[in-house]
Amino acid sequence: MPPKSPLEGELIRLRSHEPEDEPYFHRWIHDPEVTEHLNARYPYSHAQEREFASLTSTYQNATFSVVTLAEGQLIGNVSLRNAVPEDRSCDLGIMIGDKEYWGRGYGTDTMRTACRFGFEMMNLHRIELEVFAGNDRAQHVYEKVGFKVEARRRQAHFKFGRYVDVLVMGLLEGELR
Amino acid sequence: MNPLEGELVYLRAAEREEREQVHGWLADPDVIRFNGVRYPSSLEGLRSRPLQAPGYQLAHFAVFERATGKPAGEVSLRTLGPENRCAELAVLLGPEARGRGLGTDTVRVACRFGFEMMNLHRIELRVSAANARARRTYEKAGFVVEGVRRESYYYAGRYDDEVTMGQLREEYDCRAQGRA
Repeated sequence: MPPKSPLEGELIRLRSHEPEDEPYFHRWIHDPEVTEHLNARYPYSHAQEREFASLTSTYQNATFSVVTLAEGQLIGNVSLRNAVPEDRSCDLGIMIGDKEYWGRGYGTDTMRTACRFGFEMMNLHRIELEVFAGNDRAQHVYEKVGFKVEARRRQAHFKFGRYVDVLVMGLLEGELR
Repeated sequence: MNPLEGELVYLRAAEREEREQVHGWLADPDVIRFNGVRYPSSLEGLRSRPLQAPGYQLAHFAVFERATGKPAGEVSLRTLGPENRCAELAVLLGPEARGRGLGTDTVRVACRFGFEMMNLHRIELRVSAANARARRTYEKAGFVVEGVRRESYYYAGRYDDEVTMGQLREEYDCRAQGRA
């Protein structure tokens, strides 16, 4: 059996953004059920989303569109950002915008594949992310692949009229499950 | 531990005022021969070239002698892509600084900086096969001969071989432990 591509998981594969992804990104970023758990606050314009969809990956910003292996359906995006070569550490951001694919293992597979890319192709030592306290589903996914809660940034985010705590989670080389 | 300080030399970011000194070194026959200076450089050209602050892609330093505070040379670590954690070491030593251990100390301080501050996995270099003194210096500093680029450097009517040398992080850590 040929070795798996570094961009391929069990349910999804990662690929470069393409211009035709833009309508999806725009639709998702205007869906309050999707953005409720994201850092995004202001609506992005088509122009902004087109710019995002035109990004090619580099060490500083390894950004991918997430596509299902079975149907080739675009369901989200994931990025490994701000990698610091001396620290071999970066931030991860993920959005599964297509709600049809929530709760079915696609988020977990995306996380696993993206983290594997970070460790095996970018030679990172650590990946970290932030999740709002109360976003149990996401936190559970992150813990499933090996992330550990490291800190709680109290009342660090304000949305919907109130402050929420932000949990910082980290994953080290060798801990990915 | 001061990462920029060795026993005989210390490292600093390069300043514009030092360009004149560098220009002088670039006229030295050994520098021309072994540092790959092919075309003469203008002092004005050197002065007006923008100075790059040392960073991960190019950690370039001016080297000074501790005893006198005088400029002794330059040293740089140039990485090609962060994923490989590999940098190429290049040293320029002024003629007055030779034969007194300053070169060896410069290489040691630069390697320590590369491994312990930049978190490199490997440092490599090329040295002319004819430059016996430099090769000994690198061997003393822990570099291992890895290969020969045959007839890769054309100078004064002939092709010289270049020796490629490398040092890995585990090897550096072992030597550092042994010294501790």
